[in-house]
Amino acid sequence: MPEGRNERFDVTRRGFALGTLASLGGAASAREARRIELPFANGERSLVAYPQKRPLILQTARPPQLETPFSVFGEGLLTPNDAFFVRYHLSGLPTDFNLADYRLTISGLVERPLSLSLAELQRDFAPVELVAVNQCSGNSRGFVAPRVAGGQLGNGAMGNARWRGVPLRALLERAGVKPGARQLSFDGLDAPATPATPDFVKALDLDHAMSGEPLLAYAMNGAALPFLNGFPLRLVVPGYYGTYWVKHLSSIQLLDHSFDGYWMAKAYRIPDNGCACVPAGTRPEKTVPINRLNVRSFITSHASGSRVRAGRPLALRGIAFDGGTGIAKVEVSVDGGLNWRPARLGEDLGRFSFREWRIDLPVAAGEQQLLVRATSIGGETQPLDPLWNPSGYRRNVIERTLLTGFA
Amino acid sequence: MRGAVLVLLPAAILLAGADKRIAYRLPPEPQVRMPAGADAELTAATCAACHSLDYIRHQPPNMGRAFWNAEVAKMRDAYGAAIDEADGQRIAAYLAGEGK
Repeated sequence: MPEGRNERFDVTRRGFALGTLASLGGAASAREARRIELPFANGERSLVAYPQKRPLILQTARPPQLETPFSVFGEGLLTPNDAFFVRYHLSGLPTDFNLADYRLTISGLVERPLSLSLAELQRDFAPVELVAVNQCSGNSRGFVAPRVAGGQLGNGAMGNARWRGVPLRALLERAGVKPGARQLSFDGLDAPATPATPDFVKALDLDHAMSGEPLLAYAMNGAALPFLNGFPLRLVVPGYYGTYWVKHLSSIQLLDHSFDGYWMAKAYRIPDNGCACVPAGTRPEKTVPINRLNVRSFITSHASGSRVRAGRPLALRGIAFDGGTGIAKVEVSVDGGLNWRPARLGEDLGRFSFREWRIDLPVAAGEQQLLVRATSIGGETQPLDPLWNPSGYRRNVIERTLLTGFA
Repeated sequence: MRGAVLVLLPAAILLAGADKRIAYRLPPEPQVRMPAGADAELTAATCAACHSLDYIRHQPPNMGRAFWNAEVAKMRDAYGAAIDEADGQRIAAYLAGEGK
């Protein structure tokens, strides 16, 4: 079998033909989904347009998992709503919304249980806005070596948006937290395909919930949340992996114990050690729930494999982000990491946001490998060699981009 | 947290269509043709009961029996899929490309 393809499977799109195009003689091209090749073995995917979305990389259809084509990150610091990645765990996602019926309930260890409509959330609480990166725990899993099971993602399971909503703290103050509360569980309107499958419920510690950071967001980038990004309301946990950003949020419960549901106690766990890594192919003895993003950086102005003019400065641009300390510096190396040149940091949209960087770099003729490395204000930086864990989480190796300089 | 991160805004209402029902339709599920094999139908029917078959199709190539044993076990033990031991063995063997 060729290295790059899994020939045992053949995917065709049923019912993809568009009547109008077909009648114009474009039947073949309309039926033919656009394809994209993610740069790892068996990385071929279709680009498919879902409701409110431009064509995105179709990772899975049921439930939908859509990856943002990486070129989108070169278009601007905020990821457009119609290009923002989509990740569901359960096949029973809500598709039919009636805002007259929608309620968010807050129950459990509270003085005053609440049941709030979207209109009440928007009317009765002062809105806040912040820019934050939402990144899937398994972003870039397709590059993990040795390969591991799970969504075989490129680097596009992330996005940066301006979220608007109500601070979770404000709701909890309205409800009144009773003594003894330790954790909050968050459930959305999605449901499993069978009753035997654990419902997707996540949890945060009470002090985190009260920190002022988590939001209940009803808008992103100035518009209502897209259906596939959690309409009408989602939890936004700045600096934390997307697994906590529960979509279609409908219920919050205050608990006197640590929530022990499957998606906290068994899934989304990382090795409980300093690097959250283990030797490749082994399993950790002890794990903890995944939590804050680690620091990453990417070139967004040039795709790997690009040809550029040699002998003149090349205007390189990219993004960097971390789990909320902010970006201290970004550096670029053209000699495999021996020497590093500082990039200029761009507009600061807040410590949870993508931070733009730029550098003008002379490029020699021939093939060049560019390395980019970010360091957070918290002092964390990126490893030259990838760290490994069995779930393929938290990849943040120094990225390498190949450019060919021509005269 | 640093106070500058959150910015208070004038109350803005995003309620266009609040009184309306909004329904979305997902695109049709791509048909994944399973590779030839005696247990192709068993595998497709079992797995597709809960998720689309691209979940399988997009896994790395040549992962071998231990990988697929673990996946089948996860579906049964973690996600409650009704797969008996014999079927699980056949499905894992088929997905590992055995018995072709």
